Amino acid sequence: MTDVVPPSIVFLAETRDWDATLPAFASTANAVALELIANVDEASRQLTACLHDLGPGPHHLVALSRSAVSAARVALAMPDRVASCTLVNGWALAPGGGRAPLSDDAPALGRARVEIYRSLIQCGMPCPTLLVWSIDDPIGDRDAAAVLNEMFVQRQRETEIRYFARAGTDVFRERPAAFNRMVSGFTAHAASRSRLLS
Amino acid sequence: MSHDTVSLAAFGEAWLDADGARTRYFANEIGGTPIVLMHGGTIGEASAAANAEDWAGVFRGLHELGQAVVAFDKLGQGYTDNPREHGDWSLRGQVNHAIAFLRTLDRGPYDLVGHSRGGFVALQVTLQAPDLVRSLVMVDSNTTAPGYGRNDFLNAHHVDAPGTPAAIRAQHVFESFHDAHITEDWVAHKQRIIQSEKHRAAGAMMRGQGLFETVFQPMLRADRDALFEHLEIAAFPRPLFLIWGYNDPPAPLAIGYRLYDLFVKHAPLTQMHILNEAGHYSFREQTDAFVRVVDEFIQGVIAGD
Repeated sequence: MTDVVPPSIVFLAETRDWDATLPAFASTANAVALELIANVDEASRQLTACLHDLGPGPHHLVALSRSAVSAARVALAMPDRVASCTLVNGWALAPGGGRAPLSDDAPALGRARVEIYRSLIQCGMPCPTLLVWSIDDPIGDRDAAAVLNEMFVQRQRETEIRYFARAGTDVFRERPAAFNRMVSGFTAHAASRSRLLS
Repeated sequence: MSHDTVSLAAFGEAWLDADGARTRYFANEIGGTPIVLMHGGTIGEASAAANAEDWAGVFRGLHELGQAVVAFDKLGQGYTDNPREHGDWSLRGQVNHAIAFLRTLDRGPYDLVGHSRGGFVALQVTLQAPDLVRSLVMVDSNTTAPGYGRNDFLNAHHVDAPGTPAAIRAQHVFESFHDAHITEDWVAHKQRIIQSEKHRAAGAMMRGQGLFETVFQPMLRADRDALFEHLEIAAFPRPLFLIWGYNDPPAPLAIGYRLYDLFVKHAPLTQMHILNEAGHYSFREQTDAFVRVVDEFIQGVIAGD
């Protein structure tokens, strides 16, 4: 009998750790945190390799800030491996990259955005997608979020958007219980959908 | 989940006297704090007949999750009696009736879920009788949001005779993203209400005698102004959650954002959730997602966070 590898929830970020979040999911999922390299192209390759290592899945991606770019990109490229995407304050995905400071990989980030926008418009996200925005995030801009939302909703019926107030980029630290409950419910829904489709 | 989107008959129709108005309601047999579903719509409307059973899919979904659920016909709508007093042909009358209903039911404090005009009623119940309310979910409520809804503009597109199946269907198509939830059974169910003597009498009062323009609208304008002034300076007294259809024709998302901004000024824990491919009846077009996020919110209320 072959070992069955359970789907994972992969929490993605560049510099912040998810140590406080993982225990909340430990009893119901294989919760994994991956610290991504601070270059969007290398990070996308890193995430791709990680998903291969985790097994066929499909897995759930929960991506914070800039890592939302890699998550969306990999989900679009590997639809069979990704069950859902939760993109948390992914301002780097928004037109112009929100108000975040200029990064060393800005040209690559710009190219990745264009590539993702094209895919969103042509074929859409292949999995249920939850966009999470903190409207008081200092590097955020709700108008940018609105434009980005508009692209995500075009071709994926199961796109949902959640707004939090009085929380910054790290909404998962500032409002941990509400955040964890939201992710738990959404990933459970996406998992049942994946089972129905398989 | 698959839902009967037309009838709540399986849960048994019940009646109680709420401040003199014979009131129809449905309740499942699960104990605990009930989630009370409050439908939208206007008394005596010509080609719609909003009523408790509009919530059939949501009711069933929450029931399957083990939640206690109640849905009732508001004053003058569905099969609940029409108002008796002149001033009660208004949302103010429906608020008083809702408070009387909830007190008579005696199972509070409740978690209220109000859609559209029902959201306004639920919100006023929360402000006027906070002892009855544990939390509030507002759904696509252009009646409550600052700015203007698009109902009158959409209704101007009607070409069918009022109250006919074609007009009832068109009314809901105008307000929806897609028409899959507008089944023939649902339309027939609404037509039975529209053809009832009680509904005809309500239509005669609201449109024939003009109470919609002389009572309902002026009171609503005054109550909205007072509400907006209140929310500018005071916190909302109970946990609050907004749900909106991304594609809501009569209640565009832009006014939903304005309402959210108003709430979070003094109630910063308020969250807003938007469902894609959902119009004014977001809870019918995306029932599973709606049920999931309402349940998630209630779990948060119970946990106190």
